[in-house]
Amino acid sequence: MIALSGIPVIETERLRLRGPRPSDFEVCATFMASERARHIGGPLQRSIAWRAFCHLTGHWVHRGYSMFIFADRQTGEPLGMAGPWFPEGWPEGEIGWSVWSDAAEGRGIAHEAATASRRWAYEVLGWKTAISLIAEENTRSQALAQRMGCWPEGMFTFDTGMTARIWRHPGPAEVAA
Amino acid sequence: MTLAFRPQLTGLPVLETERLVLRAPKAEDWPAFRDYRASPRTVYAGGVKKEQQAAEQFASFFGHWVMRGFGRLIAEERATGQPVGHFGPMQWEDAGQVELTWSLWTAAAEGRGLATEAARAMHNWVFGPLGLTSAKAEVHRDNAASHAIARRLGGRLAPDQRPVWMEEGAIYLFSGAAA
Repeated sequence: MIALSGIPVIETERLRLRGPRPSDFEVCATFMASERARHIGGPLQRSIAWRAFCHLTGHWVHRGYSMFIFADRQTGEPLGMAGPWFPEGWPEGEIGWSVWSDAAEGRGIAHEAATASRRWAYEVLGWKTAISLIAEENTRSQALAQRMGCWPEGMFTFDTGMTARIWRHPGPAEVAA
Repeated sequence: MTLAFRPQLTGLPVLETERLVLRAPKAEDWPAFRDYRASPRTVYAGGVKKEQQAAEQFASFFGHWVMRGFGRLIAEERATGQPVGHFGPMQWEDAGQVELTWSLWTAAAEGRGLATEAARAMHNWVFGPLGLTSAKAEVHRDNAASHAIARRLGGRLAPDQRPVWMEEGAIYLFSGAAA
């Protein structure tokens, strides 16, 4: 059985954060192909989304960590992704997040997933700092960043030419306090 | 810091040849792959890539295995323990034909028949245990070494087909016979 093994699981009140599975791809691809993905370079055609999902998965092996898939603890339904993300070329380790459907919005689950994964990055990976890269028009993610105690810094330009605001997270000591 | 977990691919085949071991890609292969991807050796494989793109491609090696159940193996030279190239089937599109790929990462690995040795083992695994019945390979017009490998593996030139991404390329078709 070919598998990606050795990925920890984090449980929160309503969510299970776990490694990506092939069966998550359909939900992820639907998100990537939708207007919801406009702040992360989308909408993306399926073959591009497939590569992006491969990248997300492989980042776990290459770096030893990556974004988790967060799923409803009760139903098992995958709802989005959140966690540490640091591809080559990134200015600093990021806490990223995406909620994959409208239906999953408005209940604070992105906050629940992002906060749990940030704590994991600090406590388990030993990160000393973290940022989030957020498109200037992405007001929802900005609101979440503010709720997580982040403050805006300068802009970052990706190699695709897209730009994003750097939001700095409070450090490990402040988050633990 | 030492972590209590180690994400890795498990369950992958290991192919043994006289001088090589073809095994699962691992994080430690990155520097060698990065150096290959930054070198002029990639002229027939999409050209020199920036480190960021190279890293995405490297990460995709792992993701491809998880998504498709097959992918690229890394050939390690028994004598040195060093990774010398990647060999394996690849399928980017759900409905696309599986492509056999082979690349030696360094000039030092050239000229000793290592690529043929690894490609043959990969081919026999693809059409044996893995159970595929057809595949293709895309080879640049001027890449004489790869044309020779494709022929040795029993590939038949498809004169009317061209790779989408490489106008100056040829397509070989494989059915598992005569390798």
